[in-house]
Amino acid sequence: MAGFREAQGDLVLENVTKSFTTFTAVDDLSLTVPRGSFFALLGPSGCGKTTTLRMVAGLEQPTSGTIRIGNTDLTGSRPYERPVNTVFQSYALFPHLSVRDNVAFGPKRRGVKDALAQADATLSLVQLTHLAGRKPTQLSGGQQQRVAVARALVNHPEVLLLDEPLGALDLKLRREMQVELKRIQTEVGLTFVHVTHDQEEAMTMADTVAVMNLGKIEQMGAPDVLYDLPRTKFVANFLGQSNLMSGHVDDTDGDNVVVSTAQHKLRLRKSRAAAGSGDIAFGVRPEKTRIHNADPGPAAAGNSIGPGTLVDVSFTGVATQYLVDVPEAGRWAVYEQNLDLERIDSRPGDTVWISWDPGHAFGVRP
Amino acid sequence: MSTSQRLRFWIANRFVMIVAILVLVYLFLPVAYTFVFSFNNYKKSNIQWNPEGSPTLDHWKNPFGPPGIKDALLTSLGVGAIATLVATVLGTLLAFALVRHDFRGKGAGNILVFVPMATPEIVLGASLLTIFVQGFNQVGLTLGFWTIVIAHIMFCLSFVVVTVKARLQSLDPRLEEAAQDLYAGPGGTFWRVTFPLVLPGIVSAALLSFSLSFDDFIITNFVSGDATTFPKFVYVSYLRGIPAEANVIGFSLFVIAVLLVIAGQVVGSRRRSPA
Repeated sequence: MAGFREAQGDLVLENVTKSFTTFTAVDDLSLTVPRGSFFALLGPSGCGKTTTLRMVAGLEQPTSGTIRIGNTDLTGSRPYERPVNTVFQSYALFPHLSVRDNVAFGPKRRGVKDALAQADATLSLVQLTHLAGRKPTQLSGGQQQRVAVARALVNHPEVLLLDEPLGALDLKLRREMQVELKRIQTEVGLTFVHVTHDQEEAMTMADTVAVMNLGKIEQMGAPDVLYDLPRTKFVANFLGQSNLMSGHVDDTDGDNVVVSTAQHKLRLRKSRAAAGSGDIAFGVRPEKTRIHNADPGPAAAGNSIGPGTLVDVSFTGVATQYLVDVPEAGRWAVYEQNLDLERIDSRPGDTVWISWDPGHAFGVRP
Repeated sequence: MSTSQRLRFWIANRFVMIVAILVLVYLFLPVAYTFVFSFNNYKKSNIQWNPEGSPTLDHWKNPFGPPGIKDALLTSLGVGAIATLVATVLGTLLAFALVRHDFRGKGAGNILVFVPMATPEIVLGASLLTIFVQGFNQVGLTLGFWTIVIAHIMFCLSFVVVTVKARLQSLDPRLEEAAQDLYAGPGGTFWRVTFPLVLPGIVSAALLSFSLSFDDFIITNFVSGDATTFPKFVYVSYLRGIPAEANVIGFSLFVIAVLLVIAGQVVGSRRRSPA
């Protein structure tokens, strides 16, 4: 175990860049993951999230920048010298070894005396004791996934990396494993860095979500904060859905700025606007909007648009989804929970108006 | 339903089965011939069944009776063992180099490895003979056991490279990354993960090499000089009648090969079934 670097503390990436011959996968990325937190790197495929993870694991070396855990610089060290373990996307379980030997692989390489006993203890944590003697190919996808988690956890790494670990599972199993992983993380108290393109997965599990796009972090924060107040167009659309239209800030009104769009003058809280002047994209989440058969009137001035044409109504049980074409504002989505006993009887082709609570609107850079 | 119709249906329903049986008969006829004629109580030549003498176990009791047959078999086994060992080690190293490393001429190397497989044996034999006579004689090497070994290593190498390469290419690179991630250094990763996973490919390459070497007649005939391998013994004795002991040895080898294949299947399926 020559060269093994003990380290404790926050995971810190400073100005990390990874360039390949034809493109830059990670572009001057800096972030800090507090010790013991569940951190999600969320982004579309090709955004650089997996490359970032592989650099933390040591499977790739950054072109420039440093990677630290606490005060220990890990940049340039090999994967087997880092107190970091990975749960791989396709699990990468060793097919020639039993489940127990897969889990004991890490402790054995580190010369731990009771490697098999530790493996058994970790297998009981993921509730797989009864399958310890099997080969990985004889397990279901969900079981293989838990073996992969156990194989990484048994080493008590300072940071556990999860590379889309739930991507290969069906929806029901994925939900179960989300809860399971969160339980394990709380139980062992390790730093988890979870890479995923599933925004719901990221929001359910993580304490902090970083949304990545084109090798950069667009926005980072607690899931509810990020969802409530996206700061870029990309985040507004990638994390949940948003109705967006472009406008121009040309006035203030108390605590609000006034955004002029082609047809409307809309009000927006100053604290929720990405810019105090100039071009801005005005947005509202579909579930924060309401649909009306008549003009909501001056009371809703600044918090409503219309008239528009209803183009689609789909009843989903819990909610009804309306799609409305508003001239100069594009196609808006409205989700209304089915609370009222008497539902608004609207059909495609009807003329409708859309309104929202003024506190729910947000403005992002165009 | 008329009888002729019934017959037609009967044949139609069993057509594939009938064809399969005929093909199997065709495939196993030579082996059956070898087996049956190993009991022939012949006088002069084992080409014809002797209807007068009753079948005999004499040839099975003393398979090394005819002069030279034991030496020929031992030569073949020796050549096969050495050629297999050297070709498997060299070929495996070459396969790793071709799959895992980038170097100038890698593409050309990948293609050139196939050339000996595609070259007619008669050409290889003739050219090896020329090289041995023209070149190696000058350094005191005469045609015999070691020239056969050198020739066999040469043609077995390609097959080893191709077999091991295929296995290595199908190996998920993430398995080795996982090993490194789990604190295995380069040596640990190779011996704990890569080698065990490639081993089945290396074993089949070795078995293939041995059977190619043992079987070879054309190249061996060119480069063997005075040395005699088992195939060469059989060919040469054809002129004065192949002794039935050759049938005994030939059939025994067939049985050993079949047993090896069955053993391989059993080990393979055990590995996959629950521990």
